[in-house]
Amino acid sequence: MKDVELIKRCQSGDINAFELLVERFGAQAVRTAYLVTGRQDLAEDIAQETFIQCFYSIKQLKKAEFFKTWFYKILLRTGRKMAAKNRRLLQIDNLDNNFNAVQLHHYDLEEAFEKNEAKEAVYQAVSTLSEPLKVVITLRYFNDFSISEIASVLGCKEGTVKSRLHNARKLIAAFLQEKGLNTASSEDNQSRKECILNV
Amino acid sequence: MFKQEQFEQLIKSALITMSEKINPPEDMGSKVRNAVLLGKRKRALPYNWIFNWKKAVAVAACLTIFGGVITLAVSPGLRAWADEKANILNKIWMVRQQNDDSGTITITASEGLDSAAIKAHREAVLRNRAKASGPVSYVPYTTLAEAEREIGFKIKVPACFPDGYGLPKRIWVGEYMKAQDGKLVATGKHEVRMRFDGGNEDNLVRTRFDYGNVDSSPTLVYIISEIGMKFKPGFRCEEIKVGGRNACWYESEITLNKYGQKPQQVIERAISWEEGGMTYLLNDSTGLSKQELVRIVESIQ
Repeated sequence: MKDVELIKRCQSGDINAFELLVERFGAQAVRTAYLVTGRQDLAEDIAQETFIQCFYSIKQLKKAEFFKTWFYKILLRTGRKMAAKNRRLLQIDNLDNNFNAVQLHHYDLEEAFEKNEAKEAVYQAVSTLSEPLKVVITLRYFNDFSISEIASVLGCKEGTVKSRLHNARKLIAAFLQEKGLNTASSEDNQSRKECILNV
Repeated sequence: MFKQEQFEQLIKSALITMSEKINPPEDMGSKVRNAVLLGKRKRALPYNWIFNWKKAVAVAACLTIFGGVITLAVSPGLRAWADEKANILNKIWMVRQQNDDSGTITITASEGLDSAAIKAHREAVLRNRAKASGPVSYVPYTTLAEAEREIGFKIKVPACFPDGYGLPKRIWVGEYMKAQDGKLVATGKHEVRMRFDGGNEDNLVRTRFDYGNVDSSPTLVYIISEIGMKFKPGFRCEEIKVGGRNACWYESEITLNKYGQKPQQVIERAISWEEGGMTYLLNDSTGLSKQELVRIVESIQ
């Protein structure tokens, strides 16, 4: 069953269709919640709460094609609220992350990439970003949203999204460099410069 | 060279890898379904019925009051009963007086008087509430014997007075009335009043307790009532013994108003007691001392 058809059935109050919808979008929703809030303990609750809210207001969705952006809009709002509400709770997963913090010593990025360590370094970099930047990075690279879709989810202009993406990438690159990870080939300084500029 | 595409790919790959740390529950669909169904049931109710004692008591109180108001509004019998009760319990005599050609003074019932200290008075009112309602007409008699004949009980009077005070020339007998079929009907004679200060005896109703500014001149008034008297809300008196009687002593400053004259501040003193089912009141605003008033009461036979 196509997404649009499924959503239309959900709009008609079909609970079985809704269960199917949850199964289809659930994993991605939980992971997005985790990446945006950085809270492993809350991610599942955020996703569930989002789906519940979604069930009650799905009839208000005028075009089923826009479900994805509409849904993530709710998810981000719910995530923000729940994270704020539970900010005093101890984040065990984050403690783990700190213990496993990657210490890179002048690896070439391609080499590090192969070793999977760069991924953790990038994730650490993403974690250090401010919430708006983290959100655009997650929606863009994890959810494969276009610039216009992100703008729609966030309710801002496309230019703002582009600027945030640019800033986020720049900060990630800076973080990686700080960790001693070359984002360009060590043999080609010019290329490294270009790479940094390109980022 | 590490291009932007590669860098973006790295970010994407990092996010995917990191997100895989978290495994979404397989039964999420059924969990959400259950939550939705449960929530649906909750939302279907007009109110989230979680029992709460405080709310329950508040709601019960509101419903009781509301029910009472509705019943009062729709039931003429109950309303009449409530009106009567309110009149008897919270209102008592004397605010306005009218003198007619025959010398009868009609005093209209009005304000409420209340006191915890003189509970007995209230009880007397309750005992006699059938008799007491509405205005009182006062008829003057020149001798005690005449007045006693009319009222049907012995009128005890003081034997001694301070200088300048004494028994009056007229004794006023109060006849109670109530409204019946749009007319005032006499219900019986239950009260005697007299003035000991030698002033205008038509102005008998000037006491602290009849605070309707009927008479602005200071008086020494003596009242015997079968009905009992009630006092102002917040009224406090000191319980004293006078000639073996348990009495209530009251003293306060009052303002006497007289039309066209400046209001006058005077001290009002009163002694009230119960005896033989009667309520007695000696009320003075002429400036007699407590000792003098006590002596007057002690001499009552």
